[in-house]
Amino acid sequence: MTQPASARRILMATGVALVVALVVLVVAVLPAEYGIDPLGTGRVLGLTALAGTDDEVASTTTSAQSPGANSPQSGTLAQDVFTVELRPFEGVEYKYRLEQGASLVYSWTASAAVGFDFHGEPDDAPARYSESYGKGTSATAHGVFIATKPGIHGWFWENPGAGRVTITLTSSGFYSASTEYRDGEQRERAFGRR
Amino acid sequence: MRPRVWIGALLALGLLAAIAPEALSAHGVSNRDAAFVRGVTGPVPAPFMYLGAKHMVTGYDHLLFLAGVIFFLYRTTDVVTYVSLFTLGHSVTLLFGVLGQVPANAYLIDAVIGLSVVYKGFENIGGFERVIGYRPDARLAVLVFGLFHGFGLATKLQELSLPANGLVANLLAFNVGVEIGQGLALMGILIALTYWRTRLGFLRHAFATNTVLMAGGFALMGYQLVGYVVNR
Repeated sequence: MTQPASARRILMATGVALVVALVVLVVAVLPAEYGIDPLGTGRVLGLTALAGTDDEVASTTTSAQSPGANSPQSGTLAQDVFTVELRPFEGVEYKYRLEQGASLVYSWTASAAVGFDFHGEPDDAPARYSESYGKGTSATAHGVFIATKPGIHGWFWENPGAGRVTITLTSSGFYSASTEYRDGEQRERAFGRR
Repeated sequence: MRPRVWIGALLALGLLAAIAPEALSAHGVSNRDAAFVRGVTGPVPAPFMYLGAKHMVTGYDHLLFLAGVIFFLYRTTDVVTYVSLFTLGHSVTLLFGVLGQVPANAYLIDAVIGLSVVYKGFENIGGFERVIGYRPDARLAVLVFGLFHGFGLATKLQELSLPANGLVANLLAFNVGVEIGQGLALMGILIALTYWRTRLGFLRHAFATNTVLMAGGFALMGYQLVGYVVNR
C-alpha cells in the first residue's frame, strides 16, 4: 500500500471486524442455524424457525387429520428391530416396503447425534427421485407414518462425527419387506412377523 | 475511528445479515446432490467435475480467501504463483484426506478456513508489519492455508460416504472441477479488481474492504466453532 496505516488504526479495524462478526453471529446466524438466540432477535425476526425445521420431523403433515381418525389396514402386521453401527462419517439407509395407505409406527435412537433423512421413493417416480418427510440432526425420533404413495420408505442415517455410533430402530407396521443399503450394496433383511 | 471503516463495517453487516442464513446453510453439498452421489456406482467423471466446480463457485469461504490473496497482486506472474500454491495445497489434502479417510472434524477445519480469511485481510491492511513487526512469508501462508481448504473439501466429500467403486476417478474428476470452478471465480474477481484499481478510490477503499474481509472471516470462524460445540 502507498500509505501504510498506523498500528493503532489496524488494531481498531481488526476490533471492528471482530465486533461486526460477533453481532452478525449473535443476531442472525446462531438463531437461524442452531436455534441459539441469546438476544431474542432470532424470535423477533423469525429466524429461529429455520433452525427448528431441522429437528421437528415433518410428521405434522400426517397428524393434521381429524382427531380419532381410524385408518383400516390390509396385510399383516410386522414388527422389526434393526441395529446398526456406523463408523466415522459412514452412512446407511434402511427402508420398508409400504403400499398406499399403509402405516408404520417407529422409534429410533442413536448413541450420539446423527444426520438423518426420513424419505420415500414412490414406485412411479423416476430413478433416484425421493421425497423427504423430515431431516436434520438428532439422536432420536419417534412417530407414525402413513404412506400416501406405494413405494419404499425409510431412513438415511449418517454419522457426522469421528467416533462410532450405534443406531437402533424399532418399528411395527404393515410393511412387507425391508432393505438395508450400505457401502453401495443392498441387502434384504428378514424381520419377525406376528 | 475513520468514518469509512464504519461505513465498510455497516455495509458488511447488512450484506452478511442478508446472505448469511441462506448461504451458510447452503454451503455443504446439497441434499439432492448428496442423494445422487450415494446412488452412484463406478466412475462418473462429468457429474463429479460439475459438483467440484459448483462447490468452489458457491463456496464463499474459498472465494473470500482467494479475493484476499490476489487483492494486491498486480502482476500476472504473481497471481499465477500464488494461485498455483493454493491449488497445490488444497489438491494434496483433498486427495489424501478422502483416500486416506482422515477423520478430520469438518467444523474445526472450516473454522481454520475462516481464520485464513481473517489472516489474509489482516496481512492486506499491513497488520503483520505494523502491529506485530514480523510478516510471515505470504507464499508459505497461501500454501499452508491451501492445505486446510483442501481438507475442508475432503470432509465434505467424506460426509457423502462415496462408494468405493470408481472412487479415485470420481475424486480426481471432483478435483479437476474444483480447479475449473476456481478458474472461473478468479476470472470474475480479477476483472472486478482490475477495473476497480483504475479508479481513484481503490487504495482508499482497500483498507475498509480488507476490514470487511476480516469480519467475514471472523463470522465464519464463530459459526463453525459454535457448530462444533453444539454438534459434538
